[in-house]
Amino acid sequence: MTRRTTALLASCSLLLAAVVAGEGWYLWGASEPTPSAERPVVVGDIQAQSAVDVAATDAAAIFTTSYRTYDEHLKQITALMTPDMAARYRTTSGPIRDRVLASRTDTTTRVAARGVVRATSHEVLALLFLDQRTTTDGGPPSYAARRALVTMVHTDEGWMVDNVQVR
Amino acid sequence: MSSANRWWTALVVVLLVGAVLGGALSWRTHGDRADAAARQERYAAVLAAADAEVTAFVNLRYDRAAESVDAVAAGATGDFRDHYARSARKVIRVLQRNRSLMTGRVVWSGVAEVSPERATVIVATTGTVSNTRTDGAERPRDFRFRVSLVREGGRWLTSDIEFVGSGP
Repeated sequence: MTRRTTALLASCSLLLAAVVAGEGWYLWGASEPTPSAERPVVVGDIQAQSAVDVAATDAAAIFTTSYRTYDEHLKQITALMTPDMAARYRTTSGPIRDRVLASRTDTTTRVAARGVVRATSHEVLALLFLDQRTTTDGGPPSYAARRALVTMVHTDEGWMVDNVQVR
Repeated sequence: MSSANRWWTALVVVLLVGAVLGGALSWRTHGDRADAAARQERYAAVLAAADAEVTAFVNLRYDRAAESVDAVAAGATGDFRDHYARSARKVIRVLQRNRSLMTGRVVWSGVAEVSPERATVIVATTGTVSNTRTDGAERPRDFRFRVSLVREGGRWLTSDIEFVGSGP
C-alpha cells in the first residue's frame, strides 16, 4: 500500500513538475517576435512612440546648422549618435563644413510629421517629414520638403541615431 | 503515512500550487499576447491600406482615366470618397485634356497614430509626371502625404489624404 502510494505521489510530482516547467517556458522562455511585413512593430505603442519622438528631436537638431557655430554643433550632434554613425558623420562633414562656411549658410529644420515604420525593443525605424529653411550669404530664404528615414538603436544611454537616409 | 510519503505529499502540494498559479499567469499572459499581436498586426494593416491608396493616388493615366479614378475611390470612404466621386468627371477631363501621366511608388510609410477604429499614416512617394506642359517629358515628382484611415466592415479605408507641403 505504502509503495503504491509512493509511486502515485512520485508520478503526480513528475507530471506537475512538467506542467510547471511548461508554464515557465511559456511565460519566460519565449523571445520577442521578429518584425515582419505582417507585424512591423513588435513593441508597445508608447515604447515605439518615445523612440520616434527622440528621432524627431535629434533629426531636427542634426539638420539645423549654422556657419557661425558649425564645429560646436558637430560636437553636440555626434553625441546623439552611435559611435559608428558619429564616425561616418565626421568623415563626410569635412566638405560640407567648407561649403557651409564659404556660403555663410544657415539652415533651420522642423519636423512636420513623424511615424513609426518598424520597431523592436532595440531598434526603431522612424519616418520623418522635415521642413527646411535655408539662407545663404544673407539672401532670401529657400524652403525644402525632405523625407528622412532615421534608424534609432537602444543603448545604455537611451535611444541613439544609428543611420539617416534622406530623400 | 510513512515519512517518505509525507515528503512526497508536500512536494505534490507545492507543485500543485505552483501549477495553478502558473496556469493563471499563463492564461493572463496569453490574453495579453493575443492583444499585443492584434495591435501589432493593426500596424501592418493600416500601412498596407495607406500604401495601396497612395499608390493609386500617384498613378493616374489619361488613357485609363476612369480606371485610375476608380482605383482611388475603391479604397476611400466618407466625405473624401463623396468629394472624389463628385469631381471624378472633372479630373478625367483634365487628365485627358493635358494628356497627363503620373507614375509613382511608395518609398517609405510610417504610422503616426493608430487605434482600433482610426489611424493616421504618413507616406513618402517618388515618381514622375508628364503632360502637355512638359511636352510629354517625364519630370520627377516626390510627394509627402498624410493619410487618415477609418475601419469599416473589417477594412481600413481612406477618409482623407493631405499633401504635407513645405514653405514659409
